[in-house]
Order: sequence, then C-alpha cells, then structure tokens
Amino acid sequence: MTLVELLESIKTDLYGQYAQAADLDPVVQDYVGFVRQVMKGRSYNVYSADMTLWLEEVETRYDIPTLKLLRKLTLIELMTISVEVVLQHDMDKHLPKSAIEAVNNWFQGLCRRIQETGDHEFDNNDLFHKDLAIAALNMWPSNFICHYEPRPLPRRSIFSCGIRQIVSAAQVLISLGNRSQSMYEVHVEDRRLTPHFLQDGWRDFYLELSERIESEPGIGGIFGKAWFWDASMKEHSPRMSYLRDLPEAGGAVFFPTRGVLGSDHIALDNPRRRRLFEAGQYTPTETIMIWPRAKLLDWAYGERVKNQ
Amino acid sequence: MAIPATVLATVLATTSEIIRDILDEDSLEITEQTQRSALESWDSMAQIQIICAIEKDFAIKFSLDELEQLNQMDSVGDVVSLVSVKTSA
Repeated sequence: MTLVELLESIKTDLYGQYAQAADLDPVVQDYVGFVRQVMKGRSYNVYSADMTLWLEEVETRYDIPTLKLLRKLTLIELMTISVEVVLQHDMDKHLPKSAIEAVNNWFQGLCRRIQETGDHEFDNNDLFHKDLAIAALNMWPSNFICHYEPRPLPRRSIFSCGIRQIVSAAQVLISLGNRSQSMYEVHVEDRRLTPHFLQDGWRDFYLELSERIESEPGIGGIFGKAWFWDASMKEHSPRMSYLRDLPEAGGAVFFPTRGVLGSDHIALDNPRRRRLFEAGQYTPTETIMIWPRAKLLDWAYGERVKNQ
Repeated sequence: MAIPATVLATVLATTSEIIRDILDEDSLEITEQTQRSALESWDSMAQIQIICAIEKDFAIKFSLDELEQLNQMDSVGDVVSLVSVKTSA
C-alpha cells in the first residue's frame, strides 16, 4: 500500500468510526490553513496571536475525545497534502534520497500511531506541535535524533553575552553573509532518545543533514539551542561531552546565551548536577551551537572518507 | 504465563553485567531489589546506554510504550521481568 493509499484508508476508517468526523471537516480545513500558511517560516512552537485565539476557542468548544479526533484528522490532511504537493515539488529540486526516506518513515510511523493510539497520544503538547509541523513539512524529520526547520540565525541571542562573544559572533555572521537568514534549526526528538541520543545517533544525524545541505546551496548551515552544549558539561557530566565535542571538532562554534534557566529545568533532573546547582557550582545555561555550511560539509566529507 | 526461575536468573546476571559495565562500577552488587534512584551514576544518559545494551545483548527491540515503562521503573527486578517476558515471547 502506498503512503497516499494508507492515508486515505485511515481517513475512511476515522470517518466510519466516528459520526462527528464529518461535522469537524470545516474545522480541520481551518486548522490545516493555519498550519500551512500562518505557521510556515515560524518556529514550530510559536503560534501567531490569531492562531492562539482560534485554538483556544476550539479547545473550549469540544470535549477531549473530539479534540483528539480533530488533531488526528488534521495530521492526516496535512500529510496527504505534503505527500501530494510539497514532497513532489521538493523532489523535483533533487532532494537527497535520505531526506525523502526520512519523511516516508516518519509519516508511516505517524500513521501507525494514529491507528493504534493509546490515551496518552495526541494531547495538545510539544510532541503534537512537532507532529503538526512535520506533517505540514514546515519542519523536516530525519532518520535519527533531531528534526530541522528552516529558520534565520537568532542574531540577538548570540550577541547577548559579553564583548568577547560579540567579536566571534560578528566573525561567524560575516562568514555566513546573507545565508545567516537561511539556516536549519535542529530540535531533539524526545521519542527517539533511545538509542539515537548516543554518539552514533548524533553523528548519523549530522551526516544526513549534510547531504540535505549539500543539495541546497542557499542554506548557510545549522544551529540549535540546548543546555547540553554548555562548556561546563565537560566537567560536570563527562559522559555527555561527546554532544559538544563532536560538532566542535568539525568546526561548530558555541555561544552561551544570557537567559536564566529555572530550578525545575530538565538539566537538574540529574542528581549530580542538582547537587552542584544547590551548592552554587553549576547553573544550567542554554548554549547556541552554530555549524556553518562549509565546516559541516568538510567534516561530513572527512567522516565518509574515514568510513570507506 | 509465569517466567521460569532459570530465565529470570540468566536475565538478571546479564543485566547486572551490563549495568556494572556502563556505570563503570565493577564491584557493584546488583539484585532484583537494587533501585536506580539509589545510584547517582545511573542517570538518564546511563539509562539510554543500558537499554541499548540490553536490546543488543538479548536481541530484542523495545516499543515506545515499553521504553516509557522502562524509564518509569526504579527496581532492577522490574526491568528483568520485562526483559524476561520479551525474551520468552
């Protein structure tokens, strides 16, 4: 069964199973319109004021099972459009096979989850927001630890932390030129931590993304924001040091941001870091990683040669 | 279906070896009552490494739901039970 046939069959099943599905059709179309038009180019979790208001109104209008059905129907509709329109258009631009495979794999997996879903699935949370963005291909899935979405480099964040940082940030921006406006921001997929959060999963992700970037000359490189790229992690959590060492060895640069992360931050779930935090010896710090295009492609070339 | 005691013992022995190896604590004594929360070095990174090693050594693959269950489990005995059920299936 092709992906389009699978999507069609799930849709038919949902309409057969739930009497209210047909009534939801106009709401699904509005939802699809918001995601495809308003969310395109925005970060997957930053909704516009219009969309936030509309979603709040929808959330109060329906009960939880109906909202879950609405979310599933919206995902099905978005994936159908993506397969028929977006993916076909992007394939014409000679996307690498790995990028197309990653979309097919993710969509197949999402279809499976829609068919077999338990109660915990399709709540209005960060995972669903990612599913929504990926279904619309506003965000692209990979086969490994992260997803990626086209975003400009956040200049304000990288200039926010001291004079020394300003100089090196300016150097990065000059080297990127106009391409700093066309980067891919990477986001960790929490459902893939095991096993892809380990070193191989990150290396394979960067390699896959380098293929994509190689096929798109206008993309300046990749960036991401995370607490685990903080330089002090080498000292406090040496087992996680590969997370920074790997891209750093390939020419990525790092900038700590000024933002304060709270005492309930995930970095402090670890007992050792919690103890250090309470003793005033560690503060979780969000750090921006920037891996410029040329450096990433050089690193990927070296890795491929090494593995041959 | 009850899991034979020999299977449980074998799974416990292999799982203990994996945990000792990943936590880098050769002398750590592990029983079914050993609790993850009592071992500081058994953090979320170690948890991922332990699960991956279990999958590899027992030639099994955990589903997303099972991974979620494993992350909620605190005692080694619960992990051993889940692995034993999967290896016996």
